[in-house]
Amino acid sequence: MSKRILIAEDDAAIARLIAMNLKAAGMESVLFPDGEAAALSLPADHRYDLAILDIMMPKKDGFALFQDINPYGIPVIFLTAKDDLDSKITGLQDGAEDYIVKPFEMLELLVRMEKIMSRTQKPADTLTVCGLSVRLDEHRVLRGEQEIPLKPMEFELLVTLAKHKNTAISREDLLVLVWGVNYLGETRTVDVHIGQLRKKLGLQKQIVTVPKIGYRLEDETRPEDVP
Amino acid sequence: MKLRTKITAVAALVILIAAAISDGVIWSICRRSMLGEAKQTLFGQTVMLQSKYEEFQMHYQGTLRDAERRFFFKQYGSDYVICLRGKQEIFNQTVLTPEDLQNMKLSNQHYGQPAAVGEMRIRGHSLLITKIEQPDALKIYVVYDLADVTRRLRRLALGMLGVLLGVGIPAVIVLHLLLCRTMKPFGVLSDSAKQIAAGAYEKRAEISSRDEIGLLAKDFNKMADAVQDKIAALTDSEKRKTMFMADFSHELKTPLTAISGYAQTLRTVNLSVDDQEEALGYIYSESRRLDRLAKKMMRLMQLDRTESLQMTEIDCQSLLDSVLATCKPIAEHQGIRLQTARCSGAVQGDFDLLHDALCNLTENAVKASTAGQTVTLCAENGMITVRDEGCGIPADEIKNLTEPFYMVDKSRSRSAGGAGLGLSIVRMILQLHGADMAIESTVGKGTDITLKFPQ
Repeated sequence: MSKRILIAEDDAAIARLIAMNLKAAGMESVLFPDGEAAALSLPADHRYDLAILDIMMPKKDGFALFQDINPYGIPVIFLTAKDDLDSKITGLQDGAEDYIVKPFEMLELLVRMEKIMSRTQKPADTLTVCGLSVRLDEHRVLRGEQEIPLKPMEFELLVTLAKHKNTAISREDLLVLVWGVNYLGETRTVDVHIGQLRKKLGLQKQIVTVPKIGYRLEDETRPEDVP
Repeated sequence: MKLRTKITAVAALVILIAAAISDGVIWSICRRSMLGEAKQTLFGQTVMLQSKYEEFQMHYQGTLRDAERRFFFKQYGSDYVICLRGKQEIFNQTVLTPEDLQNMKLSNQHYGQPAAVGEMRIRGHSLLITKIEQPDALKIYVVYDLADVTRRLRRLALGMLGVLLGVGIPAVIVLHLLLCRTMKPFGVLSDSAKQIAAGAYEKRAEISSRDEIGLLAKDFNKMADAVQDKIAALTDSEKRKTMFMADFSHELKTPLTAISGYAQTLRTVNLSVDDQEEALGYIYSESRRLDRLAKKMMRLMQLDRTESLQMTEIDCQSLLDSVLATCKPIAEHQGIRLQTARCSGAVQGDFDLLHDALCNLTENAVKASTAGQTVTLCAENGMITVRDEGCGIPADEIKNLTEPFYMVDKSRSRSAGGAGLGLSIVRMILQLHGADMAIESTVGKGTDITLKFPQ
């Protein structure tokens, strides 16, 4: 089942931007143009995995909306242009999971969302992508019933690409996300591992090289296709 | 040293010196008069003795022997008379010796004085002595002991010192207390000054006296009022500036976030064609928004630098016609009727700036209206009014309207292309003209904005 994200943001451009990226990552988003509309919809429907709130919104601001969302146990990220210390402290002390200041990097938002959801929910045991089933707890990759042996770093790289499927990730970001360190200038390592993954899993077409950026794992299974 | 201590010390010193001088003068007058009295007594005794002695001598008719003389002196003043012949003592029961008398200096005998008189201090005695020379080579001295006078003078001096201290010390203490009372307002003033310096600008010195200190306190409070007003004005303007910068950066960040976000998404995410179109649309519209914001900011800054205007007489009819011509396309596009009514008179001002301001107000009126409604411009008696039948403005929002970036309904104004700077620009233009803007509005019925020009 795909993740459902509440987005309360008065700027339609930003709201649609987040929604587009979440859709590409296989998540479903519900948009509200102001705090009041979001608060009013909650009693009827609060099956969200995460809420992204702007602070400066008409009718009801993000802090007030947070008080309405909190009782439902939905983790909250504040995404706002207010980058004064007071607002950050207020936001985080109230119990928000994170506080991101605009302008923000979409990948950063996605990674933070993923971290929060993996902390607040039971992580999925298995990722299904391009006909592969990636068993996270067992560290195994299966195509149908047949296991494909992967080295540890190749496995981690596959998991990272699968989590951010349909989104290109730069070699530098992959180094940080998979190897966990800044391997400055060692982006060749990524290319070698990508080559291995393509060969071992037969994903020559699905793992796309995006010029000047990095790699993208394309999976045509859209969220709406997921039963 | 504290002022009151200083004044007390100086006063005490002055009192002490004055009292000491006057006491000294009185004491010396007393001394002279007592000595005079003593001298008179001595002279009296001398005269008496002399006449008695002469009488006695007469009685013996020159056959007076020393034995008789001793008897005589024993009878009349045994303890204060000395009788010498040369250096030989005939009679002496006093503490003096003939040698002492030899060394004694006598003043000349003045007119009216019965005998030569001399003063001497010897062996702890202060003595006054007269000398009578007798024809038979006898010298008779009459001695007067000044012990009593000295004692009385000492007692007088002690009494005076006692009075001086007994009155002086309490006087100094009372003076000090009075000074403390008088100086107290200075302490109050000083405390207030310290508190004000520490940031409590609303503090005032509470002194109600009507003397110089009271006046000083009044002036001090006036100064504190001025400081408080200035500080409040500065804080307010600082706050406005900070608010402006915060709002401005927010207005900048929002479109920038969208633009860079969509560009990055287009670069990295494998989007459907529809989504790609939408993303490009947003990039375009958000960059247009930034462009508008930059232009408005430039306009504001330009107006802020303008100090005086080239004022000309502007005919209201031609001004409103020109505004109508500029704004008509936008209004018609949204199905709103734009008209002028009752254009009469003229105002003093800069045509282009007023045209700008009125276009701004007219565009706002058009944005607030819905299709089928009318926006009317009219001019009368140095007043120009822009009237709409649109959504109106809530009463508590009116005072904030001219604040930069203030929008009553943010999402609505943004989607209508506003940056929230229009009315700030209008306000600045009106300030340059010395004109006022009055806003009358009823929610749901429409808004009247009237510009009142100085006659």
